[in-house]
Amino acid sequence: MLRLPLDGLHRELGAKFFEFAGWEMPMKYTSSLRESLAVRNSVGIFDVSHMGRFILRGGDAVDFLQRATSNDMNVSNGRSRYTLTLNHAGGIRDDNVAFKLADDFIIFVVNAANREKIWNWFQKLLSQWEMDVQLSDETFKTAMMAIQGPKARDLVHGVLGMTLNLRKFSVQEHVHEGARFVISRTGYTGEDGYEIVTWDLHWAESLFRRLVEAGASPCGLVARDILRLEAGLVLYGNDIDENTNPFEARLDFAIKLEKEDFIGRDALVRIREEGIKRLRVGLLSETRNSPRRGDRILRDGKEVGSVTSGTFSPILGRGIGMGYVRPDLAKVGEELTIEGMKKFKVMVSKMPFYDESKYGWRRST
Amino acid sequence: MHEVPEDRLYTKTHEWVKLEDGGAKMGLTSYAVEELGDITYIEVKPLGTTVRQGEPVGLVESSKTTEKIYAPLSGEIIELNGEAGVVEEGSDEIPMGLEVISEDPYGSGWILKLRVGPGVEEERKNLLSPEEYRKLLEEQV
Repeated sequence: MLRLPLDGLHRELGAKFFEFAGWEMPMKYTSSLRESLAVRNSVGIFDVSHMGRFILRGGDAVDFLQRATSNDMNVSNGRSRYTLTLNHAGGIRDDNVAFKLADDFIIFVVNAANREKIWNWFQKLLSQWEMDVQLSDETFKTAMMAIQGPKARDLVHGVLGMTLNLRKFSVQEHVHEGARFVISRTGYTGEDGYEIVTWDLHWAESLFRRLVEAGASPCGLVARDILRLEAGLVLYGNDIDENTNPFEARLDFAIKLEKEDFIGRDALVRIREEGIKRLRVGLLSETRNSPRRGDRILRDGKEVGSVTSGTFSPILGRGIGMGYVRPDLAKVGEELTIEGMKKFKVMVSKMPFYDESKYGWRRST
Repeated sequence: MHEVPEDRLYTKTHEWVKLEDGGAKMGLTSYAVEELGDITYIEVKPLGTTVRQGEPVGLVESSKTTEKIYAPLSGEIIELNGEAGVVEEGSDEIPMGLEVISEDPYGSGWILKLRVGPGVEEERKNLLSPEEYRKLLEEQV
């Protein structure tokens, strides 16, 4: 099993571990519920070094991602963008974030479970396309952490002793305290915050430690899953995979059919013409019962879909989940029944599930 | 290593049961609560329900999963641990205090009490002794 570069620090902080995508990852430090609440109300820190980090260099780096992924990657330098790597049938190979630092310097973040798959896929594309792109996998040379929550910004600025002028979805490279790092105002919790990638593993440990000492709650992967579900964000392998298309997954915002050709485009045009057969929805339980992956979704006793992920939401005090249902049942407020270990009622909910005037990065502070 | 008190019996599904004056108190083992992660909800069948050994008596939900709770012995449910946040199924209550189930699973974190009949002597043979349960845990690691 792969170990995080900061493994020793997590042990020192009392983490309980579990296996995730071949990595031994902190599952939780204290309580996943408390950790997720700390992120909503204050600030938490996650080691996300298990995520794959590819670096694209060369004059055709942007053009390569334009052809290999679905979103418009021709963005200004210093912007971070969510995009999808599709297969030729329009299915989702991976969902990614690209940190575009320069035209010839892009960090491309892939899901841990898909690192080798996407590496091989990109190598194959590069061998066919003859582009000026140098691709390197720097996952094991770098560390990555996410600092998330309404107090993340002040905390990071205080600990680093520098004021960053970084808008949401923007990214910068710095050399500070002798360490080289990239910092992006992005995350996977719905809250404001930063993701930091650094080549200096000692500095990464020192920074993580200082952020915890300054008040960031160390958070495990279970808290991360609760937070991304509350925010309505998809998890690859659960809510999306090679057999889901971006329209039914409601990731249309990451599809730019009007840009030049990209892999999966023809299939997406056909899928759209044929019509969408199911849609991803948020499921809000009437009780504390949580929908669970694999549970059946019923309407009037008939199966109309299935649950792809679910958990208990501590800020709502109720079970929440995501699943796919027939399009006519995807409207907010539709009443459905979940049948798994037990049977209970849920309502199709907007996502994020929480009140966005009180929680999340758009909240009024 | 997980704590396995000597003064009670165990199931293969990680419940414990302790016989005491006409009743049997049951709960989840420390192994079970650790595997579950944060427990978010526990419901059991209504008071007065008669359950048979090995049948589901309730449900536990956690930050990671949902699992059934099985009756270690046959009997009638005569008490549930409301203070720990255990509720009857179908209840509208939003229970609080479930931390105690994880923090003190063999003590104040018990789940329910059963009134057991004379059949208990025969049924005990289907349960695991502390030694047997410890062995089961070793095999699982």
